[in-house]
Amino acid sequence: MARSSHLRQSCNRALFMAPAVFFIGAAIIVPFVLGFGISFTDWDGVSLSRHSVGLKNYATLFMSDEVLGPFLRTLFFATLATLSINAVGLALALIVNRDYKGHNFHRTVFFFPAAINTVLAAFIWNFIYGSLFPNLFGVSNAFSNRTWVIPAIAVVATWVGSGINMVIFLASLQAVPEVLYESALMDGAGPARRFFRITLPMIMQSFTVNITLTFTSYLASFGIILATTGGGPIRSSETIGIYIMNNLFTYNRAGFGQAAANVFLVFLMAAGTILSSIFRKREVAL
Amino acid sequence: MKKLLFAVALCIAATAGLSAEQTIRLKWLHHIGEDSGRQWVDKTVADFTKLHPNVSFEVSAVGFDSYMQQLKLKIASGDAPDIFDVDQGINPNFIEQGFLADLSKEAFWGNVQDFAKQGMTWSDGKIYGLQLGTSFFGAFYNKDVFAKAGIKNPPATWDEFVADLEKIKKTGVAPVASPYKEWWTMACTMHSIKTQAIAPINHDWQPQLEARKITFSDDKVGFTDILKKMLVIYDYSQKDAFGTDWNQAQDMFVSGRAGIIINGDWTASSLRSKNPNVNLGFFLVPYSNDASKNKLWMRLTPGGYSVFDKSPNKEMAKQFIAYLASRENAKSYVALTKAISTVKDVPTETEPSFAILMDYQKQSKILGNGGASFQGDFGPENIQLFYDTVSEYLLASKHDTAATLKKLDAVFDKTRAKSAK
Repeated sequence: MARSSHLRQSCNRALFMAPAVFFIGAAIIVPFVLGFGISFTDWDGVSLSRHSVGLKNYATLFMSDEVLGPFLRTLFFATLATLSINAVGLALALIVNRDYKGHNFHRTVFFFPAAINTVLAAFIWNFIYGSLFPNLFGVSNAFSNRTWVIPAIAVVATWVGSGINMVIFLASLQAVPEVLYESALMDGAGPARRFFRITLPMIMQSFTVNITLTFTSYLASFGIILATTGGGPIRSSETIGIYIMNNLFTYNRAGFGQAAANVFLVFLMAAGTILSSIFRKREVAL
Repeated sequence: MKKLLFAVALCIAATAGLSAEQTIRLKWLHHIGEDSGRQWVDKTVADFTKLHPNVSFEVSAVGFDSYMQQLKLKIASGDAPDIFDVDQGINPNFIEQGFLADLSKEAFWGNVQDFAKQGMTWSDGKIYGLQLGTSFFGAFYNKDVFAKAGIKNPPATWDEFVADLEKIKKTGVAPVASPYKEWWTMACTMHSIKTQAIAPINHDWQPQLEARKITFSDDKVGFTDILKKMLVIYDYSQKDAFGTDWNQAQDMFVSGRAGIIINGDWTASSLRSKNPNVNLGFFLVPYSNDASKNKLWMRLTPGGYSVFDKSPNKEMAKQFIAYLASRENAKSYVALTKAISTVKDVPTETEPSFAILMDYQKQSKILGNGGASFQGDFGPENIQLFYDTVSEYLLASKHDTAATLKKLDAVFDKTRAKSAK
């Protein structure tokens, strides 16, 4: 009797998971498995036939120097974006966490860019960099400057992304027990000391989430680059995502592009696991 | 009763059979973005459906940037459109894979001008696509800006051209609006010079370079000189050319903040849609100081509207292409898009700035009518590497042509090595 109710319970659980499993399976797992096979072929992305080439694509990838540029650019962009999104997100969270008139309005305003489509955000910033700043300050378009293009895209990423991180930080900040601050105040701890000794350790969980998620998602970022610069000028913002897309769809080397995508996926998983384990160690439990 | 049932059954069978036999749905994927072109698409579909009431259309439009990706994805996933267009020079694998139906035996070629038919012929002697218009590249100029700078006639030689640029610069206006944020606009500027300069010397310059039969460094066609001319044009362009897009450059031009835009023939209608009162003129970019060498090349490359060879509706799709080549459709195409038709006896809707073409014709300055079309451009990877390297040359603090040619050879070698099977 107990056994059958247990069985029914697991059936129910499985049933609840079914829609998610179906959509993830159809949209991610199946294409991934199919794509994995493509990486061992010479498929050009359009032919109806393909031939097995063994590990040739992987060998080409590791022996060629052309993938190094996109890889380093991706690391640079993801690091820059992660730092600035989290710094700004935390600062905003600290501001709107205080009890003052209009803090709810500010929360909405700061979160608003997160609700904007990436393409629209790119359009807005293209106007800011391309027309507004040149007219106001006489500077040239940062999207077309080979040195400044990646920081310029990181600014767009910060504008779009810091709202979400703010919300996660805010939830964490509100969970810090007030008594801790009260006793620290009695012990004569100043604001800086209270922040570094109480607030930071208590919200470390949200750093784990925020930094891991932001870093891995901007490593894999594609849409924001495609919408702002498409990898230009002269490939100076060509990240791994754009590099893979170019090979897959533009240069008729889908097998090679897929191999690069697979290798990068392994790297992404490793980076995510390592990062979150580093931050997990620093979390404090009450 | 039995009889009645039988009759009903017969009727049902007949209608079912009829509709199964006759209803055809043609899928057409295109990348036409301009209003004028879209109007032509709508009209063509409506007119063809009138002639063939059993045909219905599923027309999908995609932005030019993602068109080839979408098309390749659709074909690879078994959802190929029946009708689409590809630049065969850039995508020879479409022919190698047998995706494009051979149209060379079709009767409609009788309607098409001979030079155009020759230009559309692939290297195997077959024709896989129909181009409805010819294109050309050159300089569009704002006559008001020229008048203010005291320039009476468009330049006939390179030195005159540079002198005019200098005169415009003195009036405080950007002589040339160069939207190099979009690399294809640099390609158009390059075409406007290199076709005149290189095609008469080596017609197969581009395929030979890609096959690495010749090198950039061993420059027998004067490409070094073309690079230097690209630099002159860049130096006379507005500030931050690499930060300006096509749209912004056209706005500069129609508002009188720039004197010249070097691009393709479609620029005229595009500028007029921005400002119907723009005082527009056109001239070929005079690359040489020997005025007799400066010519306007009509560009007609293999490509255009094709039929998917494995389409179940191949025959109807071919009939549609034949309709595109009909005089009736060509007339509406020309009326709406102001293109120069490839179909015989279709009067040209005159765009006032193209009146100069008549003078060029009289001076035998228009080339390309001999079927000698200079091949479009390099393959998909090399084309990007080529313009990346040219951009680096323009942006460098020290402009080194020899190093640029060397770099071009190095990157082309690499592409060649990668594509070797």
